[in-house]
Amino acid sequence: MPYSFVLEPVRAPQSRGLAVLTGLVLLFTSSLTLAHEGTGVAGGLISGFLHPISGLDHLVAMVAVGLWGVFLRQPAIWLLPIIFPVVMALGAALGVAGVPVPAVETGIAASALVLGVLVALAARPPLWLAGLIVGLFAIFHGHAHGTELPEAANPLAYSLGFVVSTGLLHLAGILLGQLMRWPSGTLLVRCAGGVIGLIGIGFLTGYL
Amino acid sequence: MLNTPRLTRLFAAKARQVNRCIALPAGFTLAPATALAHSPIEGIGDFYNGLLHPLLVPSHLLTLLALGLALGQRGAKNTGKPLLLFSLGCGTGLIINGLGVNPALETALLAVALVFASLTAARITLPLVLYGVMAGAAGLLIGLDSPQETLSGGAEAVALFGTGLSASLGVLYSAAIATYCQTGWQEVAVRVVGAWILAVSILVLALSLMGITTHRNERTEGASAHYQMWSGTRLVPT
Repeated sequence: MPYSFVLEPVRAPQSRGLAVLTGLVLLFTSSLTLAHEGTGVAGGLISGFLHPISGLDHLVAMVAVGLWGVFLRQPAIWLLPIIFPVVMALGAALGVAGVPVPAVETGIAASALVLGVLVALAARPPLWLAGLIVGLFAIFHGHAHGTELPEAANPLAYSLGFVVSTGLLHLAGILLGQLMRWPSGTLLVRCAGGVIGLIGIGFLTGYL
Repeated sequence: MLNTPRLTRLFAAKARQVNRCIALPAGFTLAPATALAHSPIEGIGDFYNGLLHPLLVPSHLLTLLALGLALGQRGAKNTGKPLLLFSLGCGTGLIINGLGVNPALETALLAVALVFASLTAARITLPLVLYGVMAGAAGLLIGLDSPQETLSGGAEAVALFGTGLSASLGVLYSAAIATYCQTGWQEVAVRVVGAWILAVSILVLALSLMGITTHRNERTEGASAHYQMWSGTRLVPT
């Protein structure tokens, strides 16, 4: 139980269940609610942190990256969370600079569809191809974050917020992907990929 | 005679406990929390205001973290001299700062953070001499970029001393964490944090290159009228 895990030292190895529970606890950890948002360092940090989470298209795509990393195994499972934020920052820089990237929203919706389908099919392309796919979508996501930078926010704090938030969503996907260690877990994870793909279709067709 | 297998099992069990003790607090540090630009503690004195300064200015914190992680990745044996050079550089910068020379150096600090974060994310090891030089330069920049404009005399000296102490401890602690986290998922976590710092540095440097200027505690209109940047915060002691 998470409660006893937090208050008492662990006396016996429970690595797998513990890893999943730790991830779930982190996901549901609450933060302070402030009356004023979007201003200064604190407001920028919170605005940036909430941006990927508040957008369903961003959220499912980032979780799908983590899930796909589990299927791809080493070294993709840790390489993707390292490369993705850097490429995303480049996309964000383009967005802030006003450099147009065609069909950003379509690209973000397509990222949910493509990544979801890849997880559902348990696809394992070569590492360079997987990196190329994820990097392309990272540009779209970063560009969206950059263009939506709030006027009153501290850009450094805002960018730190959305980078950390994106990384934690990857981690959530990786931890959910650990369900594959159980016999029926692989099917569950692939179904989750299918759901993410359907959400992507919903965004592309305008239903969502 | 020592029972070696039993001792080995005992140490292994302790190591697993320590891993879990570190993993959970480290994990909760990633949980969303509010970053307050100004210290909420009034009347804490000049020393503590100085102590908090590097931790509350984002560019300083990123630089300290990136430097510490890069040094720690090299291992415990190789961190002493660069740390010492950092402290000396920081002290020198603070002294020059106290004499009234305090240029705005956020862009330079972020460039330094970018370099160290790149080394951390890619797990690239450079010669120790280079680390020493870069650490000294980083310390100098942080020292120069830490003015206490509302203070003078002894109060300013106390605040600057607190800043130097805090900056040195910040690098030391982050280096210690990276030194400990050398294997498994812990090593990956260090590299991921390096990637995050790298990403943030890239973005903010791009803003600087586009002509969005920064001034301490002032809003400025840069090349892009939509975006304004704060250079950070200055704690006002009571």
